[in-house]
Amino acid sequence: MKNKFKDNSQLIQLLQQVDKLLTLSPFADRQCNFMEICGTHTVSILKYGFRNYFKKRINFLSGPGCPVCVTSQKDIDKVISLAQMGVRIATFGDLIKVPGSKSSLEEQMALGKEVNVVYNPLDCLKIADETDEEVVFIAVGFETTIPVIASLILDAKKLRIENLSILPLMKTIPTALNFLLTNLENEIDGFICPGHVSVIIGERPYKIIPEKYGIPCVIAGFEPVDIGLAIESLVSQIRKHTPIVDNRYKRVVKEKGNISARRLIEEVFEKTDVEWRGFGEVPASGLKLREKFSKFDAEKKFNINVKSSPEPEGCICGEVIAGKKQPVECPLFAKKCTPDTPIGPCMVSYEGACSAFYKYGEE
Amino acid sequence: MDHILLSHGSGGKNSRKLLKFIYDSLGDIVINRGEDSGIAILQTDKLAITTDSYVIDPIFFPGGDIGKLSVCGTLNDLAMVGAIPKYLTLCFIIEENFPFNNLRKILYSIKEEAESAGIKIIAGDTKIVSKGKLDKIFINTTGYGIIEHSQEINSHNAQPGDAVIVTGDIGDHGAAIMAVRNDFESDLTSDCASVVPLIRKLLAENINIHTLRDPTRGGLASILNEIAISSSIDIELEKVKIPIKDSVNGICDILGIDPLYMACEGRAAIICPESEVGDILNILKETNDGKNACKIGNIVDKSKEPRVYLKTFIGARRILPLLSREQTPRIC
Amino acid sequence: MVPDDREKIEEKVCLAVPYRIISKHGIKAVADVFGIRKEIDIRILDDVNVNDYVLVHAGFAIQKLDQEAAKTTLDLLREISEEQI
Repeated sequence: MKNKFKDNSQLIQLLQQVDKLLTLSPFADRQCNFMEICGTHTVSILKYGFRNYFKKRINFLSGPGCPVCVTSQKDIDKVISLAQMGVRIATFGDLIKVPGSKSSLEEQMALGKEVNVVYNPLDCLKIADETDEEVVFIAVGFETTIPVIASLILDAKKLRIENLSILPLMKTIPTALNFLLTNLENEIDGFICPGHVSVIIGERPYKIIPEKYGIPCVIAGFEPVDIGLAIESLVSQIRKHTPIVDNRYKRVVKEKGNISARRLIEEVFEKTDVEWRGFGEVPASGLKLREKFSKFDAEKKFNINVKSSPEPEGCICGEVIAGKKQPVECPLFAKKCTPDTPIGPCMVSYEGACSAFYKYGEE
Repeated sequence: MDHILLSHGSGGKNSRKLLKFIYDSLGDIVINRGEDSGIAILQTDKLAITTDSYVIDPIFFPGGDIGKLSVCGTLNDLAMVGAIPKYLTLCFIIEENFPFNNLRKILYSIKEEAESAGIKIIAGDTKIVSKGKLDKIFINTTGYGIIEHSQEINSHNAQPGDAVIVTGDIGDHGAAIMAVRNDFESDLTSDCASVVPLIRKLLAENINIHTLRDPTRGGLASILNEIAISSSIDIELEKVKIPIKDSVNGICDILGIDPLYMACEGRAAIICPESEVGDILNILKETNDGKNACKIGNIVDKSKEPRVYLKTFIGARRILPLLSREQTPRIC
Repeated sequence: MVPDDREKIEEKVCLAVPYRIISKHGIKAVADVFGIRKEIDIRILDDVNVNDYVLVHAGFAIQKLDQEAAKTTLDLLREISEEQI
């Protein structure tokens, strides 16, 4: 399939239009603050140069959109503690280098602990089947990943796999956005809503944002054309004072989302309060296993004893996630904290704002 | 006897058998057989010497193997100073139990590449180590070439106003290796090849070249950063002009890797005066290996803080940094 | 080079490239993206057929690509970019 989304002539015209609009009222004398919620949007915005293109007129803020980055220090310590107990850890690759308060999974691997990187959580079924050891999948993720994790639990139950469990660290996006707007001080002029979370949850959960807070939202994909159209939507909405949830990723985001996927989530999980890095505890923003699946809960299966621990000294990952600061404002950025020697999770994950800033360096 | 034994490195009867096996497989590209030193006959004032060790997983990959790579890689390093390759040394370190069949395939690849480049193997060595001490087979080659031109081709010689040309698609080798390692079934093949014929052609036509580099480990982005630093200059590339196959972009998307940092094993970056661009492209495009050659950017200015900039898809500019942590595993 | 699985995959969480379904069997299907073929899980999609394009996340097809809507997006781009301010 020839990808027309890769054609740049019309896009360049569009951006020139937007740039012109941004010199007119009501933008003339100020910068817009647009927050992107998905880490892949952060990467696209930097990689394709949107940040530099609109440098003077738009301030792009990275929100709580990278599942690894929003995981609290305490939860990372739980993961390390499980590895130290000698259970076999199965995880997405990004988590391996994230430093806990005393160690990282990478260090545990060097010490001989078993850590398996999986691409598809269902791979854990095979891993558990081939060993007698206890296997724990580190279940980080948002709505996009959660149906997959639910499938893992259902399959494990059906196949009667006894030596597999998950450490539930899943989080839900709309609750976090609501929390961000109610509890944290910021001046956000528009949200670029996460493309693939929206594939699952649809348009509706964002409606409260324009309706209650008057802030425009746009659901966007990840190609340069998608990002360009998203920016144009937010700028037009502000100009016309008509904040809505504009869906510009209709090719995969349906109004009602993916109902089958949400049914799977419902079947396996229920809401619970969880801690986010940068936010603290957010009511009903996470998921735990329903009672009938509780034997798959690693927290219940193993005696994980981890004290609450402070975030690394000097690290501002929490403020970056909350949209209060940019990675370059961190005293550690590109000095003490680099992808080789990460101090906070935002420098580790591919989706992390700091890693993206480092890799797609700004002028 | 199907597999290499430790005794094949003992110096005794089995060592002679292994040596014979190697000689038989390589044929008459090996000279000075059985002597403690090889004797080279060269008529030149200027000799280019380069050495490299090849460790790669997997040792056989679509488009080549460790044998082909160990010859082409070293020949390409000679080509990067405009040298004409003459001799190669060849050293193997082999893990115990390595199949003779695989060794034969590797030797045949070496023979084929050496023959087509018209070079001789002047000295060599074989060591066997016990199982688990290394991964299958490591190869070291040293290349000797003569320099007949009088140009100063080196990484300190890139000048403001110069053009940057690549001889073909970027990232093929790295992408092919990543596909195999991740068990992706795909059509990706490595670009592993000698660029000597391309460079010889350019030099034969008296093309003025300032700098040559092959974008192996770290890819195009890394070698251009190195040139920028060596020559104290800024480079600006245009993303849309850099030739990258859809399939390479595809696998990079899947794995979250930037193709500009992916290794090539049969490409060169050429930095030359803008006035030479037309001739270079005409010459390259006549060849099969150079048919996708194109100009991708320019040296913009002298700089105390040398950087490579990328003009992105939307016409914005961003830094293309030197990454300290390799995005890809070490693949060459 | 000794293989090092740890660095093997630096996964992107939100890959945007759609895969084309080549064959399906039960809740599994084989899909192709730029000549790379992978087995994917299609249990959370109703009514997926061979030759459909799907969006894949962590080994699961999470939505079918609506080609009509893709075209509309491109039309929108054309309209806006040609608009006179």
